[in-house]
Amino acid sequence: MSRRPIYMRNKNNPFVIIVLLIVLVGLVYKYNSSFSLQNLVKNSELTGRVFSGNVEEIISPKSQIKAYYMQQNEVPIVAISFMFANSGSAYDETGKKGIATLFASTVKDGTFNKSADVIRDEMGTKGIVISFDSSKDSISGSLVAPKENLTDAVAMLRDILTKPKFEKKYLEIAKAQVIKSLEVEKETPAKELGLANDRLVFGEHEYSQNPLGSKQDIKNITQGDLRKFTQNKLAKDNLYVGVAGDLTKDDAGYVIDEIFGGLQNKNNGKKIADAVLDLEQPVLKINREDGQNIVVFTTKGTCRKCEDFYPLYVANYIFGGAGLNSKLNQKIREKEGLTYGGYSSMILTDKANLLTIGFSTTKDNFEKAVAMFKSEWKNYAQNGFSKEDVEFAKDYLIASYNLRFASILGIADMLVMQQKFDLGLDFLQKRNSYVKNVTLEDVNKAANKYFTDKMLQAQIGTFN
Amino acid sequence: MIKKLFLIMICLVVSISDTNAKTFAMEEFFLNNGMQVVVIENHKAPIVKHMVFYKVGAVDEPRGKGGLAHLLEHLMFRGTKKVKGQEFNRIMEQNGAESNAFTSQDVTAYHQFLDISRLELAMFLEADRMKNLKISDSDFETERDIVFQERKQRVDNNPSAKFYEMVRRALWGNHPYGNPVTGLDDEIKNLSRKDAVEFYEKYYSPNNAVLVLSGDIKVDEAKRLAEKYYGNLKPVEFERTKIDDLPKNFEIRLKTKMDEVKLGRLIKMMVVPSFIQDKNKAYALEVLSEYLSQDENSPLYQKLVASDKKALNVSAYYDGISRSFASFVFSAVPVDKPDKNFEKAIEKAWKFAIEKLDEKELEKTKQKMLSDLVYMKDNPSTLAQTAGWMAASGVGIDELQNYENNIKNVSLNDVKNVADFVWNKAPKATGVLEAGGDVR
Repeated sequence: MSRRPIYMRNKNNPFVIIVLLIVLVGLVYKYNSSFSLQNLVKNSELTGRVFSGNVEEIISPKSQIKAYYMQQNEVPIVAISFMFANSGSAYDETGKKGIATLFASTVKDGTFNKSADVIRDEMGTKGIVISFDSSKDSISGSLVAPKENLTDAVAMLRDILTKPKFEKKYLEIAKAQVIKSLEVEKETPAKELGLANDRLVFGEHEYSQNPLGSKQDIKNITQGDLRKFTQNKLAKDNLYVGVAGDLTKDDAGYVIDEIFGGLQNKNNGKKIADAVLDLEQPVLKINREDGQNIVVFTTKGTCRKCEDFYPLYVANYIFGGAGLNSKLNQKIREKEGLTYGGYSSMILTDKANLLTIGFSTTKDNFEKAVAMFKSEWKNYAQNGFSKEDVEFAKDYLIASYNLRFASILGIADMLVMQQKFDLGLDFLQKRNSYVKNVTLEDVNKAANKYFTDKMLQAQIGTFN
Repeated sequence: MIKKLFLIMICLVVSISDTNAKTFAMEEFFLNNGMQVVVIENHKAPIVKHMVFYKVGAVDEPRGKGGLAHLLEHLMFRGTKKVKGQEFNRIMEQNGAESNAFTSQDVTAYHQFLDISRLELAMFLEADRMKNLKISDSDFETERDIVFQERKQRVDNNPSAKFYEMVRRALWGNHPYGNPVTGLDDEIKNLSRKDAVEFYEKYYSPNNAVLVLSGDIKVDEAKRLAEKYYGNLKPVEFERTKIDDLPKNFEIRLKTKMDEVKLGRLIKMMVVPSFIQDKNKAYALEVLSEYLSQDENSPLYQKLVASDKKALNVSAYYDGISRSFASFVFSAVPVDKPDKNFEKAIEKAWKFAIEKLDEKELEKTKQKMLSDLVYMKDNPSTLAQTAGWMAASGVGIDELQNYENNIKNVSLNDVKNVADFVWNKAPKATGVLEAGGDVR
C-alpha cells in the first residue's frame, strides 16, 4: 500500500501462477539474422563469456537425502530452497479446508525451543530470511542467510520444521486475518473472477477450492491440527531440496542432514485424482461495475515431460507469452489500443495441465477484443506460424538463458524445479538443444492440436 | 506479508558500507556531455542490467497535462529514424532481453536485463532513442488509448489504488505530487502529439540522464562503452522545473465509501523532509519507520494487532528519495470499522511505540536494518535500480556507500524528534475508507 507508484509498461499476468521453464547452459550463440545491428553483438568486445556454475547431486551423509547443489561464491550468502509435494491446499482434509495456507503463514510462530518473538528478533538481527508458501499442490519454503550466520539459520529452520509450536496468540491473529481475507479478496474483479474461474474449470475437483479455505473450518483449526499437519505432510519422501551459494559440497550435505534429517520418512497425506476438464460449459458471466471488463479462457495444455512440451512452449510463447511482441498483443494492444495487454500461459500443476489466455478492456472495447482474440487463435490453429516467428522465439529462449542465474535464491529454486519435473542432472547442458531441435512443423502441429475452440470462458464486468 | 513489504522497501531505499572498504563495487563518473554513469560490478553470471534514468517525471508536466511523462515513456517504444516502428522491442526480444520502462513522479527509466554479449546492442538502441525518436500521429493515438486502458486496469479496477490516489491528492493539493502519474481520464484524452514532442525535446538529453551498468562488466570496459555509445550525444540547455512549496502546517481529513470494499482502511500520510532536503532527518526517518514496523515484533504490530486486537495489520513507511518533499505513510486495517475509536487506538499505539523506544530498541532496529544489506549485492538488478533512482533524484550514491555509518550515527534523540514532527507537526492527510458492501 505504501509503495511509490511505479507504472510499468508490461503488465504482469494477474491471474495465473505460471510455471516457467527452468534452466540451461551457456553456449555461445551465433546469430544468423541479416539485421545489421546484430553486428553489434557479433563484434562486441563482451562476447564469449560463459556462466561457470555447475549442478551437482548430493546425497546427505547421515539421512541419505538427495539434493541438487550449485556452488556460487560471488556474494557470501547461502540459499536453500525446498518443496514438499502433495501437501498443498488441494490436499486439505475435509473439515480442515485452509490448513495448508494457514500452516505457511504461521509455521514460524514459535518452536518448542524458541518463542516466535525470539525467532523474529534473531532472524532480523542476523539477516536470516526464512519463508514459507503454499500452492494447490505443495508447501514450499526457503532459507537465505549470510554465510557467517548459516549455522544459526540452519538450527532455526530445523526447529521450525520439526518442533513448531504455532503459538496460540499468533495463531488467533492469523486466523482472523485469513477469515477477513476471504471477504477482502473479492474487492478486486480480477480476484473474484479468478476464484469463479477455478470453480468453472475444476468443478468438483479439489483444485476448485479457494486455497484460503472456508470460514468455519479455519475457525476450528487448532494448534494440534497444525502440528499434526507438520508431522503428516512434511516428510523425506515428498521432499525436494536445492542448495546454492557460498558453501562447499560437504557443508551442503551436512546442512541438509541438520535441517531435514529429523523429518518423518513417509508423508501421510491424502491422495487426489487428476482433474478432468469439462470444456463444454456455457460462458460464465459475472456482472459487476468496474473500470474494465476482464475475461479468461482455459483449455487443455500438456505436461512438462510430454513430447509436446517444447513445441507447445514455443507456440504459446509466440501467441501470448512474448509480452508486447506476442501475436495477441500485437493485435489487440499495439495495433488497436484496446487493452493494456493480454497474455497466454501454460499452467503446469500436478493434476492438470492448462493453457490460459486473459485480458481486460473497458466495456466499449470488450466484444471487439474478444472477437479479435478468437479469430487470431483460430487463424494460428489452422494456418500455423511462420518460419520466422518460430526462429525468433527460439532466439529469445536461448539468448535469455543466462538471466536465470541472477540471484542465489533463484538458482536454488531452479534446482528444486529441476528435480520436481525430473529433468535430469544434465538438464542445464541440454536445455538449449531441446529448444533448438523444435521445428516449425512441431510448433504448428502443437498449435493445431491445442489452440482449440473447445475452451472455457469466464468474464466479469458490464455486458450488453 | 509484512516481511515481503519490508524487503520491497529495503530494495527501494537502502544500501551499504563496510567501515573500511567500500561496501559495493560501485563507481561513478561523468561523460563530457554531462551524462552521469554508475557502474556496479557483479561477476556471478555473464549478464548485465542496463538502465537509463531521466531526471524527469510527472512533476515536470505542465498543468492540465497529467499523464504526459508516462505517455512519452510508452512512445519511446514506437521507433526512431533508424530503428523503425516496433523494431526496438523485436530486437531486444530476439536478443533475450527483459526490456521495460517505468515512470514515477520524479524520474523516468528505461531498462534491459540481458546477456552481457548483447549489452552493446542495447546501449546503441537506448542512445539512439534518446535523440532520434519519431512519433507518428497514428502511433500517438494508439498509445494514448493504451495508457487510458492502463489507468482503468491499475486504478479503477483496484479499490486500494483508488483510495491511495485520493489521499495523495488530498495531501498534496496543488503541489505536483498530488497528480497521479497516469494522469486523469480527461487529461489523458486531451494530450496531443505536440505536447509529447515538446516534452521529449526539452528533457531527453545526456545532461539530464543517468546511465547504470550493473553486472558482469569492469569499470574500464564500462567507461569505454559509455563514451562510445553515449559520448557523442549533444547536451540541451533547459530550465529545471521549480516544484511548488507546500504550506507549513495543515491537516486534511477525507472519508469515502466504496461499494466493492469489504473491509475499512485508514491511511495517514505526512509531508516530511527528503534526503536532498535534510539528510540527517532523512536517516532518522528511515530508522523510525523501520523501528515502527519492520516485523511483527515491532511496537505498532505488538500493540495494535497482538495485544489490543484493534487492527488486522499496520505499517509505517518512509520513502526519502525524492526531488522535493518526501512522505511518511502510516496505514492500518481495523478489525472492525475505521471509526473514532479506531483512531483513538492508533493514537495510543503510536504513543506506546515512541515511549518504548530506548537505546536498546534503537540498536536492535539498526542491526536489523543492516544485517541483510549483503543481499543488495546478489541480484545485479536490485542495486542498479536503487542506485539509479537515487542518482536521478539528486541523492548522491555516496549515500549508498556510507549507508551503514549514516544509520549508525542516528541518535535516539534524532528519532524521537522526527517522530514528534511526523505525528504532531507535519502537514497531514488522514484518509478513511469505509466498507460499502454487505459486511456483517
